[in-house]
Amino acid sequence: MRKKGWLWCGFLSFLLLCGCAEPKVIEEIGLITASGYDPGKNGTILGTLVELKIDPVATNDVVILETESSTIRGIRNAANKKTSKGLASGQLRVILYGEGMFNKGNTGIAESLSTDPVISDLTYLAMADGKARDILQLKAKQIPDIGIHLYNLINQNTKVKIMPSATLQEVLHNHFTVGKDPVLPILKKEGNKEIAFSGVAIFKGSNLVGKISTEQSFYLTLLTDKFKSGSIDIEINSDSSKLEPINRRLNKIVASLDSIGSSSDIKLINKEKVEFDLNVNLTARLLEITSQISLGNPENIKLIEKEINKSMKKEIEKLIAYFQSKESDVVGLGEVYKSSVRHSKLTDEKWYKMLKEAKVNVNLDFTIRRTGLIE
Amino acid sequence: MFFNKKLFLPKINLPSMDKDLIPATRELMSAEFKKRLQDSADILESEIGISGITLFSISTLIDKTMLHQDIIDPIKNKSFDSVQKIKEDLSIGEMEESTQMEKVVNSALDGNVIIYLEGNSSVLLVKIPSQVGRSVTFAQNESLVIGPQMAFTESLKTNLTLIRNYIKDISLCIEEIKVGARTNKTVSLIYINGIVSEQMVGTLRKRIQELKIDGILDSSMLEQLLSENSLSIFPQTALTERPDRVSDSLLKGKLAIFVDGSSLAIVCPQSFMEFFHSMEDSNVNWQIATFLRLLRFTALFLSVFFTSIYVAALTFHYEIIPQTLLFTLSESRAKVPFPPLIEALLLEFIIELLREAGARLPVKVGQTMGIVGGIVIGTAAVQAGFTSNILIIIISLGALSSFVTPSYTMGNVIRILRFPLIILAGFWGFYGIMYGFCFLLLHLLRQTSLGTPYLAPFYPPRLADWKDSIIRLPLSFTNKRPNQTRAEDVYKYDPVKAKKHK
Repeated sequence: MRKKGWLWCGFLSFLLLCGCAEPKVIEEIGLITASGYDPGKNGTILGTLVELKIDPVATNDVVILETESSTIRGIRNAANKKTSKGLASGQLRVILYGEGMFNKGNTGIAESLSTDPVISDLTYLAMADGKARDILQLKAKQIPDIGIHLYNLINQNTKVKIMPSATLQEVLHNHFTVGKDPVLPILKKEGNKEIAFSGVAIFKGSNLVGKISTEQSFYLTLLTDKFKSGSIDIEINSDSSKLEPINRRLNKIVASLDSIGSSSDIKLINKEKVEFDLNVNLTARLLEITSQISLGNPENIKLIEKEINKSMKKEIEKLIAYFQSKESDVVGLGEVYKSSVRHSKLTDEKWYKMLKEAKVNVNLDFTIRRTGLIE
Repeated sequence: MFFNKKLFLPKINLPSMDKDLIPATRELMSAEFKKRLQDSADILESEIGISGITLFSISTLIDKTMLHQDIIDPIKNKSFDSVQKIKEDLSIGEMEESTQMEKVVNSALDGNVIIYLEGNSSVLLVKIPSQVGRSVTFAQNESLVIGPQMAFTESLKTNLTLIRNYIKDISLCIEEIKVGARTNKTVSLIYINGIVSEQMVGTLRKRIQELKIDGILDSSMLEQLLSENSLSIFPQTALTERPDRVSDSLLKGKLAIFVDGSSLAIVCPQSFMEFFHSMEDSNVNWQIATFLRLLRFTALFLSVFFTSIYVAALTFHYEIIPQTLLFTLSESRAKVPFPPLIEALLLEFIIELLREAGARLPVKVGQTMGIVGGIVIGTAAVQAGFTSNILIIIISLGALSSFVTPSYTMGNVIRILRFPLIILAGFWGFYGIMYGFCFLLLHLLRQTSLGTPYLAPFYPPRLADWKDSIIRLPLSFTNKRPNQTRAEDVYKYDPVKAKKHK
């Protein structure tokens, strides 16, 4: 009897397995590596798909497909009519949204993608400055495969934290969390041959409310993430007589920092009248400064530290004021509030009101580790 | 379950007891001896000297030189009146008197010469067996770089000598059991008293004694008969040709079985992990030994799962292929006319063919197989668009990995296991592989070797034994014998004393 039980178990589990897998042999499918969405005519969506189609005979392996459909999924089905191989989105690496998709308050796009199990949670999302289609249609000699190129571009910049990380999982998480809002990096077509990171889009819920520059993006990362390496050029606004510009041509002082290490900590210090303490620790190596100041003197180093501290603090305060004016909480102050106050029953609407009146004290502690290395 | 057990009745005619005495006259003795040995052509009967001494023997089993020099020469010119007198004149170590015909005939089969003196109720049995067989040679199947190079031979005596040379201990026990109604093989059960678990000795002895079979020819056959689950593909006892390995096992508290005429010793109990241990592990530094063992376990997983993962990924789960590999993989696949499952099975089949051909062919021809295989599979198959070159790398890696396993029997199992897993992967992708893996794991968990768990020390978890399983810590850390053998003397040495003398 026991033996028969075994047989039955094995047999039944085999039967159950039969429904599991749907064969998709790699050479019989066209792999979508990147997709872009723009608003189309009459409220439809214009989809641009980059298909990697491997054919040993063909010279070009990348096919760009354009279709219009009412739904995101419909785009793939419509594009299927144009290809010789069935399209599959399991290798999708980058999703690009045209700016127009957010202008009309179009929402729910990321959600519809997240319900597709074959799409990786680590797919990068980005917003195109202009149309996504124009970026994906870019034809340049040095870019044989636009999908892979975009992926490498975003991946590389995200790893060194020049770009804020915006994977599908992170964007969705920030979207659905009360007290935090998503950001998307903005990609811009420069000339006819290049694509560059040009800024960060700020969202309130799923509505695009503002943009910040790539320089400001550094401060945003400073507040939300940790730096372990990285470099930045920072402008010092100072009236100290010691810090004079090195030449007349560049009439400002710029310090080049390297090996940045940072940590940030947000604390709620007043629950009634919402007030936050924002402590940022920052260490860096000073490589270069466009001033004639002698770096051998420790007092001068102290001075530079102080001045950089001041300029950075001003930038951060400006940035937070901007976020507050746009009612967008990309730093995640609401999350801190929610975790510090019991039974706060925070909702998005409640929080956006509180955010406008919240006071944020920025404490920045910047130290110069050393001043460059001599070869 | 499926078959009704039939009662086994040996069809050997046992002679009755009253006929068992030594016949009184030479003619009667000769007739009786010949009758009992079926009037065999190689029976030697010779009358020597003047006092009516007759020698009976089986000429093919005795040493002729010894017969002439040590038996016939000293007694041919003398007259004797009793067997005891003859005994005094012979200078041979193994001599015995017997009054029973049954024993006389059996001893003739062992290489004894029977010295018969008319009028005596007893005969003299003088053992001068012929020495047929080879001398001790290099270990062929389990060769080592560092360590002794000797291997067992087909002679039980030589093998026991080798073991005795390694373990010069008064408590080394050698038991003899005869197995096989017709072959009458001598099976030796060896263990070290005081270390070994008495219960295990009892179990194994009983198991050997209770074997009802007409004959066993080799220890590998005995191994199959002794295993607890004969339906399992995994070997439950180890077969080894290395005397140092057997000695090491004996010191751990294990038991060894030798079969006369077999160059392989059976060692048990054996856990699954121990099949991946080599004697070289103890001979090199512990860091190197750890590296080698980790290498072997990696190879095990590579060998069993790598091809099936390839098949599953290419048939079902294109999502998991790394982006950098995507292009090369699909480009090499694009030329192949078969689905990945057929492609993989085909190549695995060719590799197995090559291996089998290499093993069966004479040594001189075998070398050319490598060249043929290399050219045919490596280059021509890819150029003909038969297989993708990435699969060739994967398959050859898997094949190579399976040969890393020090135990040949386990290596065979690993190679066979790949086929069902590839088929499962081809039909159900990773779900199939997981199904196969779970099945294997459950199967392994249920196995026992001489009553001890097969997956020890991982299941049941015996943390102390992890020091010498997939890694090997220095000898000073491992002062205990493995828990698996249930050794009566747990410690190899006194840990406190050893620290003092460091």
